[in-house]
Amino acid sequence: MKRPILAPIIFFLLGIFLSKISALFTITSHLPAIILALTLLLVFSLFFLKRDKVFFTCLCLFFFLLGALRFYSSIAPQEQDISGFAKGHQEEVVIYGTVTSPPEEKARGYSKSITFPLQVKRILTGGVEEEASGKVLVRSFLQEQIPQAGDNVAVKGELSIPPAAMNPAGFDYKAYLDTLGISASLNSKKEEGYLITGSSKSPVFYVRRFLSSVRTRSDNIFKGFLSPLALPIAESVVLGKRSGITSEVKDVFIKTGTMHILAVSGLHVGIVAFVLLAFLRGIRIPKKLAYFLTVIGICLFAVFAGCRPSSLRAAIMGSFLLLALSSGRKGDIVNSLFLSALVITFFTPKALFMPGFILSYLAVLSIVYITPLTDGVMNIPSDPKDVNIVSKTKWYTLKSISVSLAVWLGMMPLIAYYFRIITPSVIFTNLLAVPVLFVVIALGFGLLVAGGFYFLAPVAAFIGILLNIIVRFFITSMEFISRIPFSHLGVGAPEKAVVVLFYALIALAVIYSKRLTRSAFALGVLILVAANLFVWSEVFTGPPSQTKVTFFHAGKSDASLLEFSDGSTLLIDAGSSGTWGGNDNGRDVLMPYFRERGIRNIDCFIITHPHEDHFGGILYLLDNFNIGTVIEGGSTPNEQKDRILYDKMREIIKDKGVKCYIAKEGDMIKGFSGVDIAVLNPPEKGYYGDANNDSIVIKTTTKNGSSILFCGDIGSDAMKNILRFGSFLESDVIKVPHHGMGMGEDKPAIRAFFAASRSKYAVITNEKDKNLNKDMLRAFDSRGTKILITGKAGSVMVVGPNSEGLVED
Amino acid sequence: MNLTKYEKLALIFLSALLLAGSVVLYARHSKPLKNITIVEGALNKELSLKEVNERLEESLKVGINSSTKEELTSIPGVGEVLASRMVEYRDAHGHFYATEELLEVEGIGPKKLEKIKEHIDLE
Repeated sequence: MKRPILAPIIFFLLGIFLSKISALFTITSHLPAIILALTLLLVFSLFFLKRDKVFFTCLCLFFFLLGALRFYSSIAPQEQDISGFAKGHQEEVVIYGTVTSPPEEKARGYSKSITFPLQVKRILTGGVEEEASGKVLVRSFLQEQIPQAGDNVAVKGELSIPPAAMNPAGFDYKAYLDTLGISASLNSKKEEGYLITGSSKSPVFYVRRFLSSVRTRSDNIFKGFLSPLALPIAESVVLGKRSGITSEVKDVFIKTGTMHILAVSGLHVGIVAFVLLAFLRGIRIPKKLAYFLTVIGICLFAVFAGCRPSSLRAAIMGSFLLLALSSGRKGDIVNSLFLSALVITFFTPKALFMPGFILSYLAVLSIVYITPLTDGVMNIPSDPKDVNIVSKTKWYTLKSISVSLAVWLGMMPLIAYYFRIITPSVIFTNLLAVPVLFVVIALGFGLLVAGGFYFLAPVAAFIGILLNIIVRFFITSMEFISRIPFSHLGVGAPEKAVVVLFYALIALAVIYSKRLTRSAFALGVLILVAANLFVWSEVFTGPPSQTKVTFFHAGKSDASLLEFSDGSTLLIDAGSSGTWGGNDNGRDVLMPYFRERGIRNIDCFIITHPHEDHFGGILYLLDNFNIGTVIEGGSTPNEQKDRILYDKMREIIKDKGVKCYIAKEGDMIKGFSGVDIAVLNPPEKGYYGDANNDSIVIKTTTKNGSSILFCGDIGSDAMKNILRFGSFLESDVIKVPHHGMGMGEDKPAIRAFFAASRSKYAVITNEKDKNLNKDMLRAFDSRGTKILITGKAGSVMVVGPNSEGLVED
Repeated sequence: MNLTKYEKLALIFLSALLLAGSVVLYARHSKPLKNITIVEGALNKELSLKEVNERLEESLKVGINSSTKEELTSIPGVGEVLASRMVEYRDAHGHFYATEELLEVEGIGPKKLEKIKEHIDLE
């Protein structure tokens, strides 16, 4: 057998995987006993039976159960885990603990926020101090001192359990943090924050603290020599600090399939190892010592680059490969790959479900197993036969395309699953991206060395200019490629079964292609089947059979979508852009849902009023979807933070030639079939001069009589005016204005307005049910209206007549 | 490339399937966006602003028979003491049959009654 360790490791991973997806071993308490028995059997078969097959089977079973055991012990609730303190109370707590990795900074409005994971030691809650364990993610505002890995800090804030997916096709934040071993989050208010009380005495943290001070100094060198465009790229590639990359640049990288170069991973570690090894061999260090030093080098690099799981993983894998080489063995990449996977999943079994882990292993597996397939199709010989420079170049180019194609094929379904995109252009963009990455890493380290000495300042300046030019060239060309039609396609996330089917087909093709003449056929079938799966899964997610309304959960922002049975769509508000803190709702909430439903066109977009939390998300959508008509209420933003984004939006709308209207009370919006859309606000003559009261209010009535009242953010002044429509206000569902809070002074008008709507359901777009307007609640209470808060219930969907099929998701 | 007959057939079948799906999607997405227009003044108002105001004022009135002590204190000029006396009177006599009956309550004179009259009804 060529790779005897493969099977046991695969069984180990299978043990983890199967215990995750099924309740395979409910008898977890017996598992250690079973494993002990198996160990005895293993020893017995090894020494007495001398039968290889029996031994091997026992070994595989042993590893399988070990995997299951590791998984269960990793999910077993820890005593006094910090998440246990979060249940039930929302009061302030103080947590004492140790920072485990360097904080990430992010602009939040006009100030800066920082995020860092904290290993909890003690908690002060309700005046009582208790021991606690587990990890918590701290979000706070930046203060004078930045905590470093290994610092002991005390943080005051509100402890909560992170939310799971709140929107259809939305991001499951809880599951994501769970894979990082974080079970709770702590939000600090501006005036509270954190206090550094000392530092950990552990030697590991001494090393890390030293490295993070080097990181800070390195970052300052970068800041001194690089342009605003090149700085975040160099920071993320060399220092593993990704927070500086703007979402626009990130989009370009995602659309061209080159996002992977921004996350320190196997490729980066490989490049560092290559450069280091070449250097060490160049100065005539003996082979074995050079390998050994390179191992130390890449491990330091992984820790240096922020100790993120992806870089650690790559360093472990690289170390195995290099150690095998240094001990004189023929290094086998698959063996190293699986050994490192065993080490990582043994210590953190949850890593097996992290996208980063899966994607990077898949990339290597694709190179190893699918490249022979693509080589066969492209008729590439295994070696460049001629020494002739032209044919050699040709061979390398073809080989790179072949590897690129193999990686793309191998990763396509999972990239589609995680990022909702297919990027055919990646086959070519990587031919540029990988060399550029090589150069950026080499120059980046060169800049750090040169920047560290005063007498080398001119050299550093020169490298800085070079880097600026290369990054600018790269981003510009990627931007250009991302604009080419079909260079990338937005898709809905494929079903899990489809993904599994695809990989089964790949496995078949790999086995089948042993007879090389058949590889063209195998590859052809593979590509065609994949394309068919994507196309037909979208064909079957057609428009809904009856009008479907979705009120998204977007924090304290508003976004609602109406999907009509003929496939047309009406979007009322688009949530926040995240520019002043929080998420970009266009990208994180609306886009995933649109992809999932196969929506590419928004026939009409209504901006109820020009406040950022209602229109901000459209900036992303304008770039990525077709928008037919924009309807506004005619008021303009007063505050600067709204105006900046509003002007930007107007400019894009003008450039794209989107049709614009201003609607006012008494108007009807025509064009959709099977639905009446009436405008009840703002009034005909004279505005209230306050954007909230000037909100567009519309009532939609479908053919079968179900009706919804969308109230924007109106206050009591507008409510009084709208009451003139009398019984027309009656509607099955009301989208409550202003997140259920405030609404102004005229209490009788508020009570009368909500009473007049006679709604069965009231949707409130808010995180919490605190501070809700009392007069509104009274009116709902007396009518028996059911209140749905998006922050509690998740996004709310209404389907069909009389809201019979109301779904709380 | 030497493909057998069945291999050719399989490839052709898959390609045809892909083509069919693509045509369906193309037809769906190439539909022009809806032509949205606005029809002005298509909606009638049931009430005038004056009528709305009247109704709101009506709704403001406190029913002296149905309201609790706390609600009675929302009448301008009625404090806690007066409210509890009104409740006592109501409990003793069962009902206020006319607003003038309030004069029987200790602390309410003709002047006070004139002041609170517009804020109450007999509900």
